[in-house]
Amino acid sequence: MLPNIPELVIFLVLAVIAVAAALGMLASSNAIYSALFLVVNFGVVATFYLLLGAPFIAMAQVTVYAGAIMVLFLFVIMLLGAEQMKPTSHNLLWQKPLSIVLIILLLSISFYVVLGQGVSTGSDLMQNTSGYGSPSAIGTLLFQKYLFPFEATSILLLAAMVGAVVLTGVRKQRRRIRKSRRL
Amino acid sequence: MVIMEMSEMLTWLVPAPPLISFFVIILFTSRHRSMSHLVALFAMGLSLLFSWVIVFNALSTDHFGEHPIASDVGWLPTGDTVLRMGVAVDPLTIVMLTFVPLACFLIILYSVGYSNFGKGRDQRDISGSPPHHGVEPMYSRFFAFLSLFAGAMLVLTVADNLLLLFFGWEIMGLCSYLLIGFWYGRTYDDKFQITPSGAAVKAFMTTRLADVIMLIGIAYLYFEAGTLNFREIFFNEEIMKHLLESPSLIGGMAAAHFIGLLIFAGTVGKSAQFPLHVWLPDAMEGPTPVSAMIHAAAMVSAGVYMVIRMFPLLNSGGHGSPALTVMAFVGAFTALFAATIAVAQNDVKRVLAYSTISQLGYMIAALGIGAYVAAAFHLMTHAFFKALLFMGSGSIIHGVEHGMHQTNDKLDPQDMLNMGGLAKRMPTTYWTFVIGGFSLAGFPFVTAGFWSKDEILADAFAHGHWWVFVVLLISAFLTAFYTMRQISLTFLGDARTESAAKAHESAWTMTLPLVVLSFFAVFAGYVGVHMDFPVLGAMLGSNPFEHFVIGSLPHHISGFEFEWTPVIFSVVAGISGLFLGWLVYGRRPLVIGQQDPLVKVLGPLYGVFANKYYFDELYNVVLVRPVKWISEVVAFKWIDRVLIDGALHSVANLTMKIGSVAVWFEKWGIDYAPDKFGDGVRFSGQSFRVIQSGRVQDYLNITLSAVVVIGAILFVILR
Amino acid sequence: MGISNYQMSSVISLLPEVGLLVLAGVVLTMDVLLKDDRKHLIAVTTAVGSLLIILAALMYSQPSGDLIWGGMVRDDMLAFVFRLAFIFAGGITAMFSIGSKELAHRGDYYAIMLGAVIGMCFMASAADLIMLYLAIETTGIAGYLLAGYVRTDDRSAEAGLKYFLFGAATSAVMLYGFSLLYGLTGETNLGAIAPILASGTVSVSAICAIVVLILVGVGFKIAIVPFHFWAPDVYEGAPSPVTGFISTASKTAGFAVLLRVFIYGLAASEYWLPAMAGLAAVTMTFGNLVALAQTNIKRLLAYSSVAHAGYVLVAFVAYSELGVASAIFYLIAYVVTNLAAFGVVIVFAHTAGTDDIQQYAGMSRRSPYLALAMLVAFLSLAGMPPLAGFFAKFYVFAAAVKADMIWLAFVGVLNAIVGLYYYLVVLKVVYVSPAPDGVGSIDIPATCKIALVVLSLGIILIGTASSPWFNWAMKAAQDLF
Repeated sequence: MLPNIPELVIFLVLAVIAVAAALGMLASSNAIYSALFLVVNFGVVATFYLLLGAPFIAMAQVTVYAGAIMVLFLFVIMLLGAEQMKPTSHNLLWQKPLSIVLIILLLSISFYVVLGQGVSTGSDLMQNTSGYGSPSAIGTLLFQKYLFPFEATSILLLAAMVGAVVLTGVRKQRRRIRKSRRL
Repeated sequence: MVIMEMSEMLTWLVPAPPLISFFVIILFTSRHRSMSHLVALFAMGLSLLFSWVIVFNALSTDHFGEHPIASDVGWLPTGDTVLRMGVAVDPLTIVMLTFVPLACFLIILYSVGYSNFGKGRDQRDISGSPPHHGVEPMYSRFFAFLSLFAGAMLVLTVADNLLLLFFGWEIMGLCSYLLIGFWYGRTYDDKFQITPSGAAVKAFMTTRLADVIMLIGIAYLYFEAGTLNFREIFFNEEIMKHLLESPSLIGGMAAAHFIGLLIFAGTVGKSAQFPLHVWLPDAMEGPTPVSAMIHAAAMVSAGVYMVIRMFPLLNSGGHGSPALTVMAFVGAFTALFAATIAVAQNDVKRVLAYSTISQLGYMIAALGIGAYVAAAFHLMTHAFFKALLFMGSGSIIHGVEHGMHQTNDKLDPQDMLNMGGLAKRMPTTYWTFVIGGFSLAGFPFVTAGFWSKDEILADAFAHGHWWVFVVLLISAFLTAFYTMRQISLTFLGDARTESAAKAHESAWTMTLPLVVLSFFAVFAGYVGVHMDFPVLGAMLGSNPFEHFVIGSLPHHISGFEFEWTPVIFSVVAGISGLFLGWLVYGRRPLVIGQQDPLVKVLGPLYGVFANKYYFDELYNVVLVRPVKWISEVVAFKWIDRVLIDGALHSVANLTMKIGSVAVWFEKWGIDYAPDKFGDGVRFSGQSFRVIQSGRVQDYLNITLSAVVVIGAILFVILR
Repeated sequence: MGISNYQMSSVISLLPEVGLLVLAGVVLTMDVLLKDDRKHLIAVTTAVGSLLIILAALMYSQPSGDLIWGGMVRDDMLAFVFRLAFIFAGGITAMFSIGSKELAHRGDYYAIMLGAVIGMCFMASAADLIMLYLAIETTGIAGYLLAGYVRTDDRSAEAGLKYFLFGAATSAVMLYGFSLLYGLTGETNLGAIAPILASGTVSVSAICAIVVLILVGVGFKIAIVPFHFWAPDVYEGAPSPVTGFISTASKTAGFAVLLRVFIYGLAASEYWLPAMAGLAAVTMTFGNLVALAQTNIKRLLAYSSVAHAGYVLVAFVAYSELGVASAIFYLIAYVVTNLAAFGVVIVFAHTAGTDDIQQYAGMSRRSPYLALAMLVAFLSLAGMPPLAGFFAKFYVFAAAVKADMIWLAFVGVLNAIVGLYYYLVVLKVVYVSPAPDGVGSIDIPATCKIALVVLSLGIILIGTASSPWFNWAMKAAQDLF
């Protein structure tokens, strides 16, 4: 199956934007900018999902990540007043070249693997059956095949929730202690 | 069937209580004396009960030897095969189970009185020395060790394979070391006299030498046979044939016999046969219950038991197996050799020690001429009367020591020349000692010792082993003689010292075991009277012992016809020995200061006997000093210091350097900067700063770089 | 597919997890209802509940060996054995937590720990990438929380954060490996992936990339070199009961995943074995050598646990039924032994308030029983017969020799000797060095006492009667081949 030319062009443009946004997020020294770059990235990824014929996942991506979670991020950043990050200390300097080397290595390995696998990759995987990615298809999967992990997630969330309560609870205690010290 | 299953379970349980009681005493009751001995006694009593239930079940089973109790579990899976550990009870084990737990129980009971239970702590007593007047300072520890000793012996007894037997064997070796050296703090003015700690080391080293040879034998056997289970080896024609036909390392000898000899070396050490007998007399330095344990109930019996157990291997290929010849020679020689030494000893316990060596020689010699049943029989009767004699001697020493505390004399409480006239002061000890002594001497028709000894002599006579017969006969005569000498010097006449005159009878916990054992010292012999013996043979059920025990063997060995000649010889030897002893010592007992009449009669020979043929001195010159020299000069100074230490130190230095480089790497490469950074920040409690310290980033960088390296290596390998 | 997948037997096989969840609920409720002076009952409830769950599992949920719940979970002996070990470790940890002042009376702590145990149980039984990842994350998040639980203690907070950051990063890398695996095979079920990989449609280099990426996540859990960097810091900083829990249960769970993914899922692609063998050798050597120089007992145990992971890896690269069985046996022995070792550390710190090895001087006189427990645990760690550790090492090296990896067994034996040295040094301090003046006896809380007795007996029992345990391990191993 030959790739669809307009689709390919759109994909390439979006890919450049996604990567640029990700890099921007990493490079920006202002946390707010970083968060906004991340929103851009999420949006682009949501568009990818649309291109792949999965509108439900695209909408979920937008509402959950770009919407809810990012708003939370921004709130936290503003509340803490941590927009401006402090310059990194000198002992971290050697990390930059190393990370660039690592990135290059990782990319080359990925290319090698994907190319080694042959161009025909995933062509059969991409054969979308009708209704693929629709809410009902996802629902069916979620509540039949993946019912068990779906339920098990609740345990993870429960543990995380209890943990969050505990951690904040402790901080109150600390503040009390500090207060009493001041007295 | 139900009975069999119960017996199986009970067999597993037989060694358990004493072993558990060891831990219980060490861990929990070490502060409570009465609890400690109650635990030990209860545990041993439980073992005794289990054992005797098994014994009675076995005795009431027809042809028990053909379907013995056996039960095992997989112990060490080694991939395709599993090394199995288990217990087995065949008629030979039944014999052991009859007397071992009983003797151990009585010894533990006896120890209660021996360790002065009931008296308060004497302030002069310190741990590691014999108590003066008060209770033994390390009371609980003593019972713990005795329990472990008994438990190990029972493990050895019920083991169904050589490896488990060896475990018990080694634990006993450890216990003998601990118990012989129990009074490790004791020293003597005479610096040539061996101290308990010295004796413990000597016993340990000597038996260790033998055990190493035995272990080689076990390994060799496993290599050849592929199993260590007794029954699987002895009852498997194929394995036995293979063992008999494959040549050994020594040319001309079958592997079976060579292995047998290697394993027999273990017995030579454990049962103190010539030339490794030197440790046993010195082991008398331990407390007397320990002597009884080592010389009657447990350790030396273990050696003989093991070699009786291995008899089918030693005997394979019929009579004239070289291994058996060696055993017959070693046994007979030891019997005579030790008996002559015993004649000239003045220490009441040493006489018994050499007598033990001599009697063990009897058993080994008996086995060497193929008298399987007689050896087992003598093992049993000997355990009874020798335990009786040792505990009797302990009672005597205790009595004399009591006198010493009243008179404040400083003399050797074990020297028979310091005794005399104790019969009136200690009647129970006296009568039981006489019974034990007469049993040892082989007083005809009444005592157990006579029947078992007679059976060995008769077997030697019937199968034409003339020189064994003669040698053993002479030792029987000597045995009777020194026994009478001992009884006379100790009990008869008048007290030769003030302390002996003030001696008194021991506590009931000490005399009760004596009474019980004297019963067995008399009646245990009647189970093995030859079936054709006039009147008695038929009356006592035609030698039930032989019929029973012979079932342990895969091939029945030939018995022998009853003959009067050996009986007459052995009666004459026993009676004449006793009579001569009475003539020399008993008729006119020694008075104070009188020299031993034997010194004049034997002349210089007496000195040779008294000094044990100078074997200790010989070993000292030939073995100990050269070994010391080699170990100090060659091994330590040259090899160890220069070669090995040099090598080791360089390796150690290298290792430490690598270690410190790794630590440095951890500490400086990774921790340094963050710690420096962290220290300044921490006090304010801003723990979130830790993230910014950079540590985790560093960790991850290293990790991910390593991943790339691993990935690269993988790709390279695949290319 | 359809409803027929969810039978009663599927539910019963989940009995332990359901029980743990109920127990967590009970514990949380108790935290709210109980007065402060009775809150030690929470720990007791957790321990007793764990015991009951183990008993119930033994009675009712013997494994069937089937894939259940739509192929998410494999109900086999391997999972069963590991799950019991995790629940056991959880119960014991709850008992030891009484010895930690900060943790003893907090119901939420026990609830989160039980959550971690559930996660580990899923890790052991998961047969699907999605389930597996979820399980790893459940364990991970609960673990991060536990490590950083004592927020008033900076070291604990630091440990929690380090653990979290390292865990998150490695888990992301592993997820990349999972996605590649799914992308190239189109399957998430490990059982379905294996034949596809065996058929050769996926290139070897791709498999290698997948192996390395997954190894990052698993290597983090089992703390092998070079993924071990977090371990010493986290072990030292986290509260001691948590350290004991992470170093035993969490590590064992990681190995369960390693066995499941690499032997069950990536079967027929054993190119990575030499690299793994190298990692095993490096891990053993590095862990032992660095442990030599430690002065803090928790750091020492941290490096020693790195070394122990190396030994298990030796069994793993033997890549045979015997090898897997000996790995499982080693892990069982290690869980029991290392928990005992940390129990001693907890109890000692409870009275002495320090983890410095020099402060252990004369402990045998301050508390002979505690010293005895330490003796048993450390000798077992060192691999002394007849304790559990000896037979564990014996089987592992035997497996390596049988797999013709004699050099690896040799390295292992050499390492065991190095290990023996530093364990004995600690014991020497405990037994030979005189106690400093003015220190009293050591107070052992009742629950800790019980736990130490159980563990010491366990060490001796697993050692002297190793056969039934090994047979269990053997049965579990047979499920993978």
